[in-house]
Amino acid sequence: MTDGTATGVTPASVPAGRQASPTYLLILLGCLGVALGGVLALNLLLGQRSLGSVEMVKAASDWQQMTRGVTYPPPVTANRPFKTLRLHDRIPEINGVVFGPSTAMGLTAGAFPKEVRIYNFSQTANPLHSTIPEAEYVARHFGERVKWLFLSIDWAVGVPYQEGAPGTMDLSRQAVMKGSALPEVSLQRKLIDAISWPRVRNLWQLLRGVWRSDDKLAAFRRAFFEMSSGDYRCPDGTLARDFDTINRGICAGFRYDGSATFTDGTRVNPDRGQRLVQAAAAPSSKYSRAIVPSGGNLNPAFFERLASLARAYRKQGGTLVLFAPPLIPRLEQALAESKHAGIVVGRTKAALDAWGRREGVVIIDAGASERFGCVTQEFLDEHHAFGECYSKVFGRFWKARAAGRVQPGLWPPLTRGESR
Amino acid sequence: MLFNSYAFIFLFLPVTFVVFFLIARASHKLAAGWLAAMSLFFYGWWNPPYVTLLLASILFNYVMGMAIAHAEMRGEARRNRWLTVFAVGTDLALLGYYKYTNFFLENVNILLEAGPLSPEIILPLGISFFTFTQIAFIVDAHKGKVKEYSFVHYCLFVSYFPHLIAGPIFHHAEMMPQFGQASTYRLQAENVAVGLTIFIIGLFKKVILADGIQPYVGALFDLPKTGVEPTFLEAWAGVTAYSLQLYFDFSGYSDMAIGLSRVFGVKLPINFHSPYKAANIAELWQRWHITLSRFLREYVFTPMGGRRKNWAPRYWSLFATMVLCGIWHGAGWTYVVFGLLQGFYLCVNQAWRTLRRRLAGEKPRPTRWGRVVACLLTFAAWLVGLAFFRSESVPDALVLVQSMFGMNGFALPDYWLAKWGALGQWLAASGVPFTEARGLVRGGLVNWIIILLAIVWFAPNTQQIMAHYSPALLLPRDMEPARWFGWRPSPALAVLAAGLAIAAIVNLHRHSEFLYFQF
Repeated sequence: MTDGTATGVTPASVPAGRQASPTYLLILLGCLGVALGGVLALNLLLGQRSLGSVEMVKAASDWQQMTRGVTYPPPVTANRPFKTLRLHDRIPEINGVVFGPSTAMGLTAGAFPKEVRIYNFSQTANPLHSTIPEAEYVARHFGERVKWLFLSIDWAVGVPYQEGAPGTMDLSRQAVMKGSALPEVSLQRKLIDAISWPRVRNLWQLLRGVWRSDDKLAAFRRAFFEMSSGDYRCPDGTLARDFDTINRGICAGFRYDGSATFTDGTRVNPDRGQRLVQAAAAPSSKYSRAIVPSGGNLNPAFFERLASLARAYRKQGGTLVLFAPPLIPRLEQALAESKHAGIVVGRTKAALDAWGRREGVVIIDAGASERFGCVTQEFLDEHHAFGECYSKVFGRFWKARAAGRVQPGLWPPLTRGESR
Repeated sequence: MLFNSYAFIFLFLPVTFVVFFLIARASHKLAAGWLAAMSLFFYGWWNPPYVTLLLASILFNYVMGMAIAHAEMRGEARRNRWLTVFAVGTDLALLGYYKYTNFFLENVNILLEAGPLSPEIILPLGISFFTFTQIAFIVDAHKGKVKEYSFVHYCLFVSYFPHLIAGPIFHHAEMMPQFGQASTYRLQAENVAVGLTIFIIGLFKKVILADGIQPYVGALFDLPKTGVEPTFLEAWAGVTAYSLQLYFDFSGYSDMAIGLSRVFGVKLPINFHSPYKAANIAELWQRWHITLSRFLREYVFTPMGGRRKNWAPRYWSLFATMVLCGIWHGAGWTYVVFGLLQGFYLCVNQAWRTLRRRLAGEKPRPTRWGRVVACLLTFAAWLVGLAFFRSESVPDALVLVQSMFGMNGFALPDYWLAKWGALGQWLAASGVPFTEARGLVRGGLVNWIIILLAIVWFAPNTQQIMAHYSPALLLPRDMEPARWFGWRPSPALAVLAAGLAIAAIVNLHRHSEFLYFQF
């Protein structure tokens, strides 16, 4: 608390060339204007297309039906229109549908035996409020053909505890073609999005691609003014086409079976996995925040509707299977052993098990993915598993089912410690 | 509204700027009124009803200040004293109600083992700052240092948007003359160039540097909450990362405030002057949150007897002032402990200086290496304080501090053994334990810490960079301008500033609040 500073205006030593200030300002604001204006204009141009349209959805779906390649139409966050068209196209050849949010997108047709031919209908940010009516729609309209419904119960991100009740869903082609499923985006949102770092990085990559191409003008036109890229091959030989303006040339999107390639992300390496588990099990993590306030109380509105669906579907000769998606190895254990979330996890599992037994529904409990031999590298993040992990989980499930070791309730059954 | 938001940068600022200088051509008073109105709008963006509270506080203090000034002029000492006590008491009561009621009731509940009965009182943004600014005004009116000010200027003085939310806490004697000067209302390219550059430096510090290291901090400070004892390395890495986040966040905010104000032709006092270069804790507090230190020195420390030659009142004032400083930062026991620690540090520093003077003469000059060691020691002591400042509870902080003192063992993460090659092998052979770690101290964090420490220890600060253009008030007399990075309005530096601005702007989408908003 002693004086070390002087108060008052410090006299400035006035250097020569102060008249340079207007030029400085002109260059500074000019550079900012040109750079941000250019980015804004180009990204708005791209954004106009990245918001998607009914025509684009139809073109992407038709292209996939024709080529069995990898694609998705923009926007990346709204998949229902595209997946609905795909579901209608695929109905003649499938007998099972997977419903859920993005955590179920890793589930491929390869995880099922030959007699179960699925289409993965899971979509980004798709809670039980919409997956239940989706499943009801499919059971009601395609029940004579579709005999398996697999529905994700994503407790780790709080889905079964959410408030409200499931609505109704029209998955007809007409509803999609009306464009009702496409989201409205405000101008403010568009502008902010256009100058955000992910968009700027994407634009930079796009412009680099244009710069490297032989016919720069044609490449620029294709990138900024045409509906899609040309066809190209993924590393596994599958054909791909990009309709979105982001994630170009990396085979990002949905396969023919509806599963996601997740090539726009990177696999978790084991060292980072430890840190992820630690952070995800902390009281302030999004997982803890999603589950702890619920006290482990499942929303009865969801489970009453699911029970009705299971009963009605069973009468049609179909089987409803629920599944808790795999979590990164040791995360469930960490949550279950934590002071803040342990009781909630235990209650959730006990409630799911009791409900499944009562309603005669099997619930595949894949949360502790390490029990099925999943490893950290088979995850995109804490709760998005790649197909390899899902194949391990479902591989064991089908084997146990064939051996008659699968009973209604949680599978694998709760251990004594878990069923407290 | 946040300085680091699109709405502020692309709408609020340009509109306020252009209209201000257009109105200023016709009337300076109207222009000041416009700036005050926009400042209130800026405040109301967060929570409109609290504009009423701010306005009521402004009106009350203006009326009281003028009444006190008149009483002082007429020599009515008794009336002057009572009015001052009433005004300051009301201000403190308001601050106490909004800031400390929840804390008080929580503790009463704990003591009485009663159920939760705390009313959830929302802390009005910036209340500590605008209350302190006005207490200083009232006290100065009491001392006869206040002249007749127009209400518009006073309103602008308190609500002036660059400083309203998180300071700098300025003095009416610094600001009122500037609001009255004709030159303030004349558009000057140099002011705009200097102001925009300072604003861009601050924006870059906040968006790229502070927000860049921020993701690593939470996980490390969360460890004690999850019942995990951090290792020696995790504890130091976490607290160091937080100290850098806090510095770049708050000094970035202060730079933005100073820059914005300069664009309007008004100079604000600096708030930071490379605090981590300080060689003792007293010097650190002269360089850290300078305007708060000045307020505490002038309105708490000195009136309490801190300037007396007698050691007892001096030490007592020092200690009590720092405890108050801790409590000012927030209602919680962690802040009380932070304040106690700072008070203890300053008392030790004072005693050490007295002892050195006795042993080594009047002004012992430290050697270069002595200064380096002192600087490191000061920084380490500061970090121990920050462990309390950032933790959510005192027990959490104690776990962290125990780890910092090596009481939870000393071990390096095993993945460094492979990474360090021969050095790792040699260390392992020499007995340094490499054990399984939680992966919290990764390369990314280590790189951030190294880069940011290099900046705070070796790079010039904003006012040194801008030194030739008198960037702000309250500059230290002995401040050396930057030798290599001195700013000039050259085309190359304009391009560089544009580059920094673009880097910050494209990262605004992940915008986060300033840490000091909560105080």
